[in-house]
Amino acid sequence: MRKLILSLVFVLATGSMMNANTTAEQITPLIIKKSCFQLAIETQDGLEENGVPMETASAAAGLIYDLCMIGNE
Amino acid sequence: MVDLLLLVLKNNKMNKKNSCFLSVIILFTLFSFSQKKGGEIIYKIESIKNIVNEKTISKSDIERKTALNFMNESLNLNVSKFSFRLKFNTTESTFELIDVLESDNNIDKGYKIAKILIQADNSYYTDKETNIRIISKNAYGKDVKIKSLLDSDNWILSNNTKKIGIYLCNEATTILEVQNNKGIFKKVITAWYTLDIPYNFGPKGYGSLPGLILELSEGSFKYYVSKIKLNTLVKIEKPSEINLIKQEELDSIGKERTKKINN
Repeated sequence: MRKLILSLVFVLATGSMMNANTTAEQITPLIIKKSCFQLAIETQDGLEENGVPMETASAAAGLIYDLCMIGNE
Repeated sequence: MVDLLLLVLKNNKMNKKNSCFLSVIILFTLFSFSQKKGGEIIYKIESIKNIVNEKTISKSDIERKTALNFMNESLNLNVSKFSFRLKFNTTESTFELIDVLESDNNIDKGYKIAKILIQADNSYYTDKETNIRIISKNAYGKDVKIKSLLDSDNWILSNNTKKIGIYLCNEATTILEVQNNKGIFKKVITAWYTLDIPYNFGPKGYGSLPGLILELSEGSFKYYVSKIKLNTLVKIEKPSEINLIKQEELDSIGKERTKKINN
């Protein structure tokens, strides 16, 4: 009986730890294969293609860069 | 009037009691004249189309697609959280974001992106008498002010009307030119103004129309009235003209920066 309880506790604890890891990964909004710098430039490019003013597109790209860097840490 | 009172004070040798009384009158007059009758309008904002269109997104690779979709989704989710206040009197107006002290919003990435894309931190001042508009904003990490002429908007008034609440509104359109690294973009601005509120102001420094603007569409966003408070005394403070820069100069800074980044 004691063995059964111990194994149940072990299974539950392992499950919680796995869930914790998944959540941490989900916080990162972008999964990046290219450099954050490149992604920021391309984001600015995409916004400007749609008529967004330069300084606004640049500020948004700056935030994307920061988020990307946090995600890569 | 103040000068006249001062002159009277100077010329007549008055006793202490009388001069005290006159000083109070002067101060009262000064205070009354610094406030003019006007009102306060609260505008909400909604997204009327995605800021990045499907064409741009479809030709992007997976990472760029994710980043650009994040822009659109952030706006759609957060745009309703922003409110703006237009304060106006007979001659001047200011338009700025009503700050919400929500700590959750400040750490939310989507909220931050939406705030940037809406240009919610910009503040706008207009003065009908001097025909000027001053936009205060942060560009490339610096606080700058851009001055332009109010009557440069070249509104085209149409016969189209619609009711907004109890007010009958007329339509006016103009073109906003945005210049960036990709070229010059012409955006149609549509304003719905009412002659029932005869003040020539509106959101984002737009105005010079025969009545107050109750609804304004500019690019991906629509500003609409949520509260109207009229017939109040409103004091408007003119922003200082420190860090004044021309839009053309700001555009050159932007282009220079992009050139440096790409090299």
